[in-house]
Amino acid sequence: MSRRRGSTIIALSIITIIAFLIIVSMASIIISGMSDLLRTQLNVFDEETERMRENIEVEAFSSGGKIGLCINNTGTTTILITYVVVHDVSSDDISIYNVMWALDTGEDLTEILEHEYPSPGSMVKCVLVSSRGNTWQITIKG
Amino acid sequence: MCLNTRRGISEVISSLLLFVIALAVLVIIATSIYGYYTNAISYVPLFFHESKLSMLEKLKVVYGFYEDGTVVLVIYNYGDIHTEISYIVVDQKVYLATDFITDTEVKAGEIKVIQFELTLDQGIHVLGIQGRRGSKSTILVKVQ
Repeated sequence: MSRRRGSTIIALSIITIIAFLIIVSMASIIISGMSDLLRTQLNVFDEETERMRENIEVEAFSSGGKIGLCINNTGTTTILITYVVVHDVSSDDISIYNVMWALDTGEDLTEILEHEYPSPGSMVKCVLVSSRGNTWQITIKG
Repeated sequence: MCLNTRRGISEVISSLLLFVIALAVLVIIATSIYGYYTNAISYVPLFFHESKLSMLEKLKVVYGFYEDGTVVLVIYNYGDIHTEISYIVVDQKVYLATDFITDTEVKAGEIKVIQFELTLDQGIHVLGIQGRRGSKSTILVKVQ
């Protein structure tokens, strides 16, 4: 009788150990996945906060027949302008300029685009795109 | 009188035999449980990985216009991962992106111009896109 009880105890112990190992391995996988996900989520929140702090004021001028842009960072974070999209409204041409214009808070920047300034009567729309996905549009009439 | 004089197997042999049979059954059960468990558990890291990627996907329509039956959208991927445009939304209607464009991939940090033919009535329309992992962006377009 006592031998049978001993066997039962051993079997139960083995089952308990296996169940424990399964639970531990599952928990470790879930915990590591969750912590990684949480870290990513926090980074996304940080990026989103920075994105909301971005703001610029843009003015356009003609410089030797090219489009000149005077940009003032009025936001509370540094900005990296990565692209300028120029839409010539009269011909419907779209030009994309890959730029890397970095602006500190409160900094002014003047840059010349390799794009013709619109002739009198025509119009172009410029969209400045930041690395965090913000956009600012300016309409330039010739 | 005929007595059965054949002797049974010894206690030791019978115990060993039972032990081996029990062990075999245990191994079969354990193998099947382990197979099921590893199969089930392999989806967990995949789920976390996909959730993470969906957070990193960031697509935005930075500019758009409509002219002579053609919609032009400028799309920027400002996320950290390469992605694809899965759907194009026009007002309340959702279309498969492949119905309009062949190259749907937008690499990380890339800006892409897509254009397609579509008839729109006069007025203001909502045009949008949805990425492969669910990021959405819309833009208002005025049709003269």
